[in-house]
Amino acid sequence: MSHLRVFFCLIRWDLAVEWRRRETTLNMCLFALLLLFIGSYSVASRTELQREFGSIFFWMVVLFAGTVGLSRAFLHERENAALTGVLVAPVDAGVLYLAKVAATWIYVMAMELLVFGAYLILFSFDRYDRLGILLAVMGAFTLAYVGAGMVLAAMTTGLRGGELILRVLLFPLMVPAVIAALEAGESIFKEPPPGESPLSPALCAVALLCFGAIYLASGFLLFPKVVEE
Amino acid sequence: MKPSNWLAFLPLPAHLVLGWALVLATLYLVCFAVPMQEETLQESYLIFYFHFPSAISCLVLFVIAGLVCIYQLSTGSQRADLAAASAVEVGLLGCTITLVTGMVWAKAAWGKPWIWHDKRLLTVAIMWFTYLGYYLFRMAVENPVQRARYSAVLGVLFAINVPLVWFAIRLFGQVSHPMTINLQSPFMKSTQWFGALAFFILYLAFWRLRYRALALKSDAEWLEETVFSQPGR
Amino acid sequence: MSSYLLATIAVSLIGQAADQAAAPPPSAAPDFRFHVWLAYGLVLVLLALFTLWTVAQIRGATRKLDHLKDVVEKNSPGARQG
Repeated sequence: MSHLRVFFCLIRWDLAVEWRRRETTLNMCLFALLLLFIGSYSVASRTELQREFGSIFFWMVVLFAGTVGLSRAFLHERENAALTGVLVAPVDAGVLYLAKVAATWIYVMAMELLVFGAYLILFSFDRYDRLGILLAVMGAFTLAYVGAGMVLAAMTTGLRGGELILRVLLFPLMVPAVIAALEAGESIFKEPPPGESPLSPALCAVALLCFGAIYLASGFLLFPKVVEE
Repeated sequence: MKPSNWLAFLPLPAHLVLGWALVLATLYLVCFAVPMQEETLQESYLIFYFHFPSAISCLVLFVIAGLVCIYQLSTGSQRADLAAASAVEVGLLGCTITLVTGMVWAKAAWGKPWIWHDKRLLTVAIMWFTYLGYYLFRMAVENPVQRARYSAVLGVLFAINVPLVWFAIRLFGQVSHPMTINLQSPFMKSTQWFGALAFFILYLAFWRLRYRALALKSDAEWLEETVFSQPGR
Repeated sequence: MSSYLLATIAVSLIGQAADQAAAPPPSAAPDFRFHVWLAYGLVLVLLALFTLWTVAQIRGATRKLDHLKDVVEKNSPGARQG
């Protein structure tokens, strides 16, 4: 079986398991909506604050809610020793990593699209001409986020206080991606103030893709060391 | 892989005394030899002679820890794990000193203890959080073989992240008014690099010291487990 | 010896800082000397604490190892027969 077939097979397997139980995606989406709702309430009456802080709320919600999906990425495998079964089969651990990243990217993007839908309503987003570039930045950010987080998730699942440790390890690692996403948000979520010229969101998306590529490459090389018995 | 093997010609107590002597010599130079004022930051620039060496040393130690972690992953050596962990601990000390001196300097020069537009301070702060997480993670893993392997993976990931953080802050961060310092005379510049060397030699001595402490602790734990798990005890 | 040297230097630095703090600043510019001494003092304290903490850990681990080695020697087959 070629690596590509195995890759798509593993993605289908992961999506099928998640579709049957749906607990990860539902938990993640509900948590994200609650965070956004509370954030929106804190700036409810002031439109200028909504515009100023909307971008920050959005990325923070994605960052916090995404850890729910990441921390549960290996839960089924650890609980039922399914990971051993997959590794005993002639499956390259690096291909398993990429498949896990792809499947988790799909859940986290679904959560982000839902959060953005809520954002449209709660924060009165009206810059629809920036929708395309926003989707590109979201996709690139999620790729970097999931690429870096998957290795950490594999290590922390099963540890005492694993979910908390995952967040403590992941957030500093995500600082470059968060900085790039916030810079992109300066010109997507609001009109930049006169005199300020933030960097182009397309450049931010390219930077995010580069970060994602670096995390994916390191994850591909390091993941086999994490799962070896 | 032991730090002490590379520096076997220099016994650890002598290395420690040498490091301390050089740091105190730097203190003497800063107190009595270098000019007391700098054109933009006046006397507060003197803090730079302690701030800069710690910043450089901690970043170098984190990169060294990353290289040792790569070695650990390829050989599985438990001693390499202890060497990496001790390098990270000493790097954390360097980070803490950089942050403390940076905050005192910011209070002196800018009137507030934290400034967002100094990229060195920001990078070191993020590294402090990153490697503190590494330290906490090691405490959470009980199996020593698993701890060694996982810590090595983390060490490599975090070492890769150091230049990414620096690059991201430079490209995207608000560094429109960086905290620049202009060391006018060659004597000031050479004192700066003498201080950097002095602190680095002291941090290397600390690395050897921490490695010895972790190695002895690890041996004591292994022996305790062996002794008290013998049948009939 | 090294701790005595450190203590002497620390006391002289504190004395100098007290003298400087007591004397009025020579010009209208802000007095940075307090911050400079504070920074040096904190750095030396942190370095000294780290050294002492590690040395204490080494001593504790060495004592524990020696104790465990004694226990092993006492309970070794040779010691039991003897």
